[in-house]
Amino acid sequence: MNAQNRIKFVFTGSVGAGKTTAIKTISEVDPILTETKASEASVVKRKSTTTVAMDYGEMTLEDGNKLYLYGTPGQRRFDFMCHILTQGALGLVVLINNSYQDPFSELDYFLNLNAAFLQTSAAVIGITHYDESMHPSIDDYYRILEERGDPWPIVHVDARSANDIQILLNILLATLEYA
Amino acid sequence: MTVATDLSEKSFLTIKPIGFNEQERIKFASILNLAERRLDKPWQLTEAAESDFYLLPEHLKLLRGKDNKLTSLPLQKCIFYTNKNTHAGYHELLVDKNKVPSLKALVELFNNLSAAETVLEQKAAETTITNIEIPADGERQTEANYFDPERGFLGILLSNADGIKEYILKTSDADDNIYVDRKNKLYYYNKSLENLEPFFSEYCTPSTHNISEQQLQELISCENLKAGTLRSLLWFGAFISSKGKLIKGHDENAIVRLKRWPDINLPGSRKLIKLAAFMQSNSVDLNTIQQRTHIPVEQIYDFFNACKIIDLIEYSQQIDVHNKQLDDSRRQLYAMIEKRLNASN
Repeated sequence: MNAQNRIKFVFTGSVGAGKTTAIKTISEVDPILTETKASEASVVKRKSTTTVAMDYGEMTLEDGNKLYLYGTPGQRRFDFMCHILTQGALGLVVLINNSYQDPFSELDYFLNLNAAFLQTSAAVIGITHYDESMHPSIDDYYRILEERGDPWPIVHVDARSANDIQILLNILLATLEYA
Repeated sequence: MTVATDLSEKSFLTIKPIGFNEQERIKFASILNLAERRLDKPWQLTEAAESDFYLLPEHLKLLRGKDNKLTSLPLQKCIFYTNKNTHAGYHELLVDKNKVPSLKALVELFNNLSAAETVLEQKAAETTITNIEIPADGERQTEANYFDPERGFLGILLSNADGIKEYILKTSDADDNIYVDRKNKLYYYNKSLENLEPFFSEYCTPSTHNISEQQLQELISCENLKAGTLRSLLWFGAFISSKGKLIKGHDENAIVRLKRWPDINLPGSRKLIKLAAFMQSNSVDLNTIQQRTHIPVEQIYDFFNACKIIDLIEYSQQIDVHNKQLDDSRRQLYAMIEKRLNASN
């Protein structure tokens, strides 16, 4: 089975939003992480290392098939990876770090980047670092989505919590089933 | 039925034991007698049909809702015997294995109840209303079939009081404080919301104090208070208080849609993820939601009420069902993924 035909969810979002951590948290195998020293100036400010190709984890389903979890690189120069990874994906998890200066722009950016994919699939938006800063609030994010005309659910999550990431994926599944 | 009552004249409270044998009545009367000097207001046993409070054995708690006579008793007027502190949202009187009430528990409970009664009396006196609507038995039962968000702690939170409020919630063994800042639409509490569950019984009326912004800031650091949105508190309060009954004034045939998701991190909401997804994608009545999702109607009502309270529900004139066509293999795949995800819990 090639990457495009795999049963997979893709995690995308801003640098430092917790994509790598989220995959690590629920993957049943040691995830393959392609982190390296950050080079983009905006990224260096936020964290010392960042994903350059993709993150990869997996979960085994009861019929033996694997559910693959891919994380896209956060640096903008690797945006092309997003299009490659989302091909054939079931759905998209967008993670946004709420402690960043302009998280709305980040949300806007990643929804626009994946607009073609989201015409036929679904997304769920996870707001991380919400315990550090409740501003903007979840209500504020919903207002942004309303302006865009996007129906995606938003939930604040701790990327280190397996329970939170499972909830996020359960929401994505329910959205795929009904929306 | 309307009766004229002047509440300000009441100098004692009456209590009527129901479902006790003679020996148990004597035990209760003895403890009440012993407690007399420590009670803020005198309490008298009565056999009259109407009483301020009704004392009931623990097992009758389970029969409420099944026995019409018991259902007609207002829950906020019922005191149940209990041999453990359950904090189940009822007024409970701790008794030992021989069904002898604890003197300390009786004094605390009865003083709390008389204080709450006094507040109610004062409110009634302030508004100079002397006519109280007492519903006939039939009306009272109908009343018990819907959820009235204006009652109890939730009703207080929904009122338009300004400023920062401290609410002191009482249990039989401790006080609990929660602070609400309406201006910033936040609440502050040092525990998880589940701990508020007993207080969201529709009849719990906390004592309320105004506090300044500076006092609030001091309390936040002293008591390690964590902030949450007022909307979350209201959602949770309505979800817990509903108890499977539809909110007052809602026509169950009305066509509704969920405008957006509530906070799925709130206690109780996680098991209703599919319901939220369905309600957001379809404009239908509540019965149709039940038929399509197979979720128990009581859970649908609790979820709907909570979402309605915080204005997440929109009404529509037309049914709009989004019939997503999923083939069996896709459905099976989703089911397998869900099973795998939830197996990790």
